[in-house]
Amino acid sequence: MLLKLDSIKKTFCPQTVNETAVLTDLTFYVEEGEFISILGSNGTGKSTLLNLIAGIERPDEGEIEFCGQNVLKQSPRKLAADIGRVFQDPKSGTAENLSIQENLAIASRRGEKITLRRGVSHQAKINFRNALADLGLGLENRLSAPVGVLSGGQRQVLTLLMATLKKPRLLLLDEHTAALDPATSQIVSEMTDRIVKQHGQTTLMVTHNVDAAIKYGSRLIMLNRGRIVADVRGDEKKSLCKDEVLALYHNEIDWE
Amino acid sequence: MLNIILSSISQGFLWAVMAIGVYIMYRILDIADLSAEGTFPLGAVVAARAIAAGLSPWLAIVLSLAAGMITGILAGFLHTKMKIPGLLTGILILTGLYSINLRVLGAPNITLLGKETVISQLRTIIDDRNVAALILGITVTLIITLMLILFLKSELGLALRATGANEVMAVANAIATDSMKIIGYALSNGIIALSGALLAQNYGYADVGMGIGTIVIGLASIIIGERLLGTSSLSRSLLAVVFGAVIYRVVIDAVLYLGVNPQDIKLYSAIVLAIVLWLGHRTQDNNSRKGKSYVAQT
Ligand SMILES: Nc1ncnc2c1ncn2[C@@H]1O[C@H](COP(=O)(O)OP(=O)(O)OP(=O)(O)O)[C@@H](O)[C@H]1O
Ligand SMILES: [Mg+2]
Repeated sequence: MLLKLDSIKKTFCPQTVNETAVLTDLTFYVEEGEFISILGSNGTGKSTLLNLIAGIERPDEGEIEFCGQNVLKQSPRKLAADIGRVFQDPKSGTAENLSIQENLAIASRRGEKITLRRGVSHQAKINFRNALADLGLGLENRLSAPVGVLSGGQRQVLTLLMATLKKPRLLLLDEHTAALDPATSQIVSEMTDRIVKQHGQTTLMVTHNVDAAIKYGSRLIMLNRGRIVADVRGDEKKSLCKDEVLALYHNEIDWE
Repeated sequence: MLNIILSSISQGFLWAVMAIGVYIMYRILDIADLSAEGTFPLGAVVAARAIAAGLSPWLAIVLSLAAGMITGILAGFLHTKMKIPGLLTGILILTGLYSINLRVLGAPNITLLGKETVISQLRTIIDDRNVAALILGITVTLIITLMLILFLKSELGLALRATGANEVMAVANAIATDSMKIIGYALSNGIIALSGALLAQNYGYADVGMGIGTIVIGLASIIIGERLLGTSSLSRSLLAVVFGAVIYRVVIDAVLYLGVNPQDIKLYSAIVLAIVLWLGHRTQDNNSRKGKSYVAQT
């Protein structure tokens, strides 16, 4: 078992007027190699869930185990060595004052000791150029351009490349195609699928795109009010149709 | 007249060293740090006291650099480990340093008249005082700028810049952001103290009040330089800071030359910076330049 979440509770701003109980009792296990789509309405706590796994947020109660280690005893920095992340906001995953190659150089040393050696070596440049050429967005010719001049879609693609450059144990994608136009969104989704298949990359992908959740991934989880209301995998997942998933959203509304 | 211009430019280069230190905090780490107001005179008084005690003026500079870096590490510790906001950290440091600077100096001021300074040493080879100061200023600025560029392009430098540019990204890439900030604080305040040591030797005295307005000079240099030379690359941005510092010094000396009472000079410095900020903000609004507006964050 790569990741275990056990009876997680998380409330923001407890005992204030802004008190929000986000996760009430969440339990789920992730096996090595699984590609899980996570669905759920706005504000159900999907981003919070990913932040808990990455150690950025701490649960009020419950246990999180990653690679057999207690996440609560580790710093976000230690965890980051084994976790690749792409964020909801395209600006979050890259440093805009740094060039494309400098961002990639940082990602290529994630979890390693950093020294006073040259940040972007000649060999690294060649590697980055090849990796970017594979994406077919023309970024390979703009290695020294600051990331700030790229479009949101280009930045998101770059972030995905950075997140997977070091082959993390776990990949966390938070609506990583939400801010992109349909065509770019398609490209990024397919790129994600390709990377996952190529490396058997264990992945949690939060999305609002029901079609994508059905098309990609080996398992689908629906969150509502801090609980898992559906967990579909295997053949059941393969035969899942859009109406069934949409019905799950509507059920939520009935409960409210 | 030529002498005045020469002296002004040479001072500009010595101030540029300080502006580079300020640049590290404000532009690279994106922290509004006011420690400079305390570490600049710290560098001056440490050097002056060391020289007065008969130490080599070069050793005095090294001691100032070390004192500045230690202060920077302390400031970084306050900010990262004790979670004190950047602005307050600076205020605590500059307030605390005032007493320390007084103690180091042992008197409100020390004169270095007749003592051996780097300037007096250089003057054994170069006759003209202003030319000696100019050569010293250009050499030190050049060395520091080059070393800083090399550092900022190293693995560690990239991690430091990423920490300032986007902390979420830095953490996601397993960068020790607290350590990076402490390194930045140490580097910045070390360089600022070094500038204080050089200027004390150039002026031939040090006093505890000489830090007042340091931040204004540093920020004005950065912003004037950026307006005039742009920020298209790291090297260019740093050259812009140096250039801005020299221009700013010349402008201030021109104001003095026009017969303004030297006692009013801080007021004029502040007014010049206010105007530059205002102009910068307006053009930034107009062309919606990339990057954050200074006014908003300071
Ligand atoms: N740091 C925080 N402080 C206070 N409340 C927070 C914080 N982070 C999240 N919340 C609240 O927790 C709830 C869940 O937020 P979260 O971002 O996890 O939702 P989400 O499922 O990712 O939503 P979306 O689909 O809109 O991205 C929201 O009501 C949000 O307002
Ligand atoms: Mg979210």
